[in-house]
Amino acid sequence: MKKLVLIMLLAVTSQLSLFSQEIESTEFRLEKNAIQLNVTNMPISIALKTISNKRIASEISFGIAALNNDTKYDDYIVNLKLHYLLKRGRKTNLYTGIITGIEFVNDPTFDLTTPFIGINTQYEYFIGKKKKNSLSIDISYIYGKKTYRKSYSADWGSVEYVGTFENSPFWFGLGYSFYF
Amino acid sequence: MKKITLSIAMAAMLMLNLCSCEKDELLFNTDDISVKITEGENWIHDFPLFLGINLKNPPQFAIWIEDTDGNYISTLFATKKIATEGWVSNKGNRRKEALPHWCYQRGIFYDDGLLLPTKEEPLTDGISGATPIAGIELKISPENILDQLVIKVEVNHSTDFNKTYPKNAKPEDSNYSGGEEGSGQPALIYSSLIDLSPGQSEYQLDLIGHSSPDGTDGDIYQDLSGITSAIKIINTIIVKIK
Repeated sequence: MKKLVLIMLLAVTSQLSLFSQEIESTEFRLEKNAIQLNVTNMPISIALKTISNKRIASEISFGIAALNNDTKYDDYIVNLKLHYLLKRGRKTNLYTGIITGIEFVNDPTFDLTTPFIGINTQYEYFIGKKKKNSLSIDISYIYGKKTYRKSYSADWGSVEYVGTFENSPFWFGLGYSFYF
Repeated sequence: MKKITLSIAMAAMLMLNLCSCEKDELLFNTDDISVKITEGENWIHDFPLFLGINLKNPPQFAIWIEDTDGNYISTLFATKKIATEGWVSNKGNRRKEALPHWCYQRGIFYDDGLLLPTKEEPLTDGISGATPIAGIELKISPENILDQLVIKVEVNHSTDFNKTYPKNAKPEDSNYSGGEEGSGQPALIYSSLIDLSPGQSEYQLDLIGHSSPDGTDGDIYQDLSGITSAIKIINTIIVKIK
């Protein structure tokens, strides 16, 4: 597990250094904004996406998800993506970047928040000449884990337990964006 | 301004992630009791969903204490699905065959006449939590009201069929285990008498039998000849008095 965290941190650090180089070398003027609807194997979310005139894009999203195996979409996820544009085609964009956020898990037996961090790749395809609409495919690898403590007391004594909530590591998603 | 806001948001989330790496462990005092279940090679079991896709399922189990006369005292831990009626893809089966010995020892009837907690009335006399993917440890801090107690564990996988407990057994058959969404191999029961007076400080729970395959009674069946893969759900259950 330590190895995995180390690899993730290295990936994140390298991404951050790319961003910082880009931010330092360019003026951070905004070029495009979009609203994006994402359907993934984890959250169904709505995002506000901002693309700079150079190679930086950011995305902040709010989603609902069924995180604790009860099949109820009663958990919430807020996440932020920072993307670096790897390749720009006539109708396509290929991004890579980092994703971080917080999961709010709602469960009848415990209630906890789980921060997460990961790496993300997004392929975007624009529809139409005006490039107002696009479809995208997202793949993320996420690491997020949280321990929680529960106890029960009665006249015979008490019992205590430390459990672990671990989120699903892979997110696959399809998205639709409307640029305005 | 947007650049600063974005940087602050990113830094805040990264800090939160770093904070979440803190380790949270059980801390034991003298005379506390540790109950530790170590998972066996069949702890994770394939539960068929659809189109040949399987869900990797950990088992359902309950850990509880009794007095030396076999009277139920309290549940220590029960997995969330049985404690809150949180079954998925059970097609209406309340899974009375899941942990029948625990249900009967506990002896609390619910509105539908079954001994199983419901969504509306989940387990409150003990801890419930998601089934851990690899074993579990509990800390018991007993008051000075007991000299001896019995710790029991009952464990079961759903759809854990074998030749003796097949999927197609009929309700009138002795090896019926709840049908297609049922147990297959019945729940297994582990037990040990724990003496709290100074002396022995480590115990291992023994496999003492299996439960009723269809959950119609709370008896312990000592003949384990039809049990195959279920024996390897749990490797060991060790109790240590600190």
